[in-house]
Amino acid sequence: MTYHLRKFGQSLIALFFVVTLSFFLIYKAPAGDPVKTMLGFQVTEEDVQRLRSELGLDQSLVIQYYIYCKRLLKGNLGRSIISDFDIRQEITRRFPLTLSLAIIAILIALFGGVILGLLNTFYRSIGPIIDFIIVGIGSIPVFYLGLIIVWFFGYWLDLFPISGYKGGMNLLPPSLVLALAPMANVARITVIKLDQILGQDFIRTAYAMGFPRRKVIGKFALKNALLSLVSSLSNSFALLLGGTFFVEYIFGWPGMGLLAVDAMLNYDYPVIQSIVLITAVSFITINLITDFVYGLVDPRVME
Amino acid sequence: MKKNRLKNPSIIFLILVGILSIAINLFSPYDSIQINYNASLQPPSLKHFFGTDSFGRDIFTRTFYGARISLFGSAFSLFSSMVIGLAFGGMAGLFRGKLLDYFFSLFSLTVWSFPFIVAVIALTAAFGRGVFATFFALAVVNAVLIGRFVRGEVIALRERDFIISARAIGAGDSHILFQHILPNILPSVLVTTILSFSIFITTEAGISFLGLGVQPPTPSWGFMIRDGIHYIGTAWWISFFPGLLLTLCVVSTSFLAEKLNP
Repeated sequence: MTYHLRKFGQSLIALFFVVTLSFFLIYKAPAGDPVKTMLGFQVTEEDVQRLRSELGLDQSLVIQYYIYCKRLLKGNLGRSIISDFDIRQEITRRFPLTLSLAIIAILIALFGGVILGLLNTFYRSIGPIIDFIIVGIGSIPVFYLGLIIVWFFGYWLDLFPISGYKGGMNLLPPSLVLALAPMANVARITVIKLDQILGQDFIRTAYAMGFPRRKVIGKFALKNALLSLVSSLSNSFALLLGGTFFVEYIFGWPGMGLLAVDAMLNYDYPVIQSIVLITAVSFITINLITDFVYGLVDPRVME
Repeated sequence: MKKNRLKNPSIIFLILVGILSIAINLFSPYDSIQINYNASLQPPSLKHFFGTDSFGRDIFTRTFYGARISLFGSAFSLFSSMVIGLAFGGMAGLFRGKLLDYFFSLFSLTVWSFPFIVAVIALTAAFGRGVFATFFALAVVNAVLIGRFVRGEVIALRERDFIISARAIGAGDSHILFQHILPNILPSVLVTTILSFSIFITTEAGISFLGLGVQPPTPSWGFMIRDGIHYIGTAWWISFFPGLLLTLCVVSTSFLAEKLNP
């Protein structure tokens, strides 16, 4: 119980600092005064002043921070200063698109990674080739790989519509590209853990009792390796969340990542702020869940 | 030992790319920025090894110009982040439980709430994009990660007998830090830093790819790959070659890191 409370408390503290940081992201944004961005070039000093007081930008830092926190607690993320859409609505519309991409990608990454890791441990003769594949798919930058996939399947083979969200099959290429970096991560950890576990006594006992190698590796050792895989999931999720920016941009996938990239290019600070906030909250939540699950499957960490 | 290390193909490749990028003016008759519409969108040939882009600029020349920013910028900011991380992490570990340590821990907790690349992208946007903002953001985030690692190592070392003995005979904080702790943690910090090199060049290229990093017309791998998206059906070479060189550099660094990692 104290373990859960401690982890939960840590997440809350992190959340508080993330909110503060995201506030300063706008307050101290050195590039592009939001007011000037909103009004364009042909403005008088009076217009600027009026808008500043409308937005509450002429208040002191503490009061602005207080207003910001109060607004966030109400779930109000503000409006875009470029296109004037309601940010919360826009994000609720786009979030499921990114989420579906991420879920499929993490499933591909887990299955693919564990299979690669097992292959490497099981067939020693092709081990170096698998090693090379693991390092290779972990190294190709996701935006380059995405481009190659678009070129190969979209133009060369003409298999699927290249960009945009049309449901069904065209969910697969972007999530595959997104999955590769975490897959390499999962595979590497599986290999390392299997290697460690295979040196332990209970494996020797299992062999001595006459279990076939397939069963010893595929069942006894794998089960233990999967446990420690849970604790490293956070890394894979980090790779995944970072990858969505690039994958959505390349495939024209209208999710959160594309929204973020557009906002950054236009200095749309409220949108950037909101997405930074949402990403951090998702990541903190994922880490908290991972910690809890890990506590469930391996109670030793709770001490 | 040293001879073996130099024979490593990864190191040879990286050094080769580095030398070529410095000396590209000697090898190539073309300018990296000058626009020449007569030579626009030419496929790879003996005249233009990697072809030309829509402005008629030689991709071979631009790719190696881009390597300058990518490799040397990353190396510089990586090194600075290591020094800063060592300093702050070391002090936080040494003065454990003091105000400085709390500040550092809270700051690192915040940075750890973001996926690495998201933190860097957000900071780059906050610093006002461009190549300096990118490398500055990279250095800041990585310094925190290194600092956290260093802090943990220092805390583990503090309890060891030889440090306690040094303290018992009256050694000061700075003596302990520089004479006893630093030599012990430096090797593992160096390995971690080299491991991060590939992450640095990928992230820098990624941010330039999104249009937030190196601004055109200065050549950079990321922006050249982005440039090629519009011509992907007709002129594949625009993004293929910069991306290939980037990938090869990342792969060689990864293999190098794999070797160093015990």
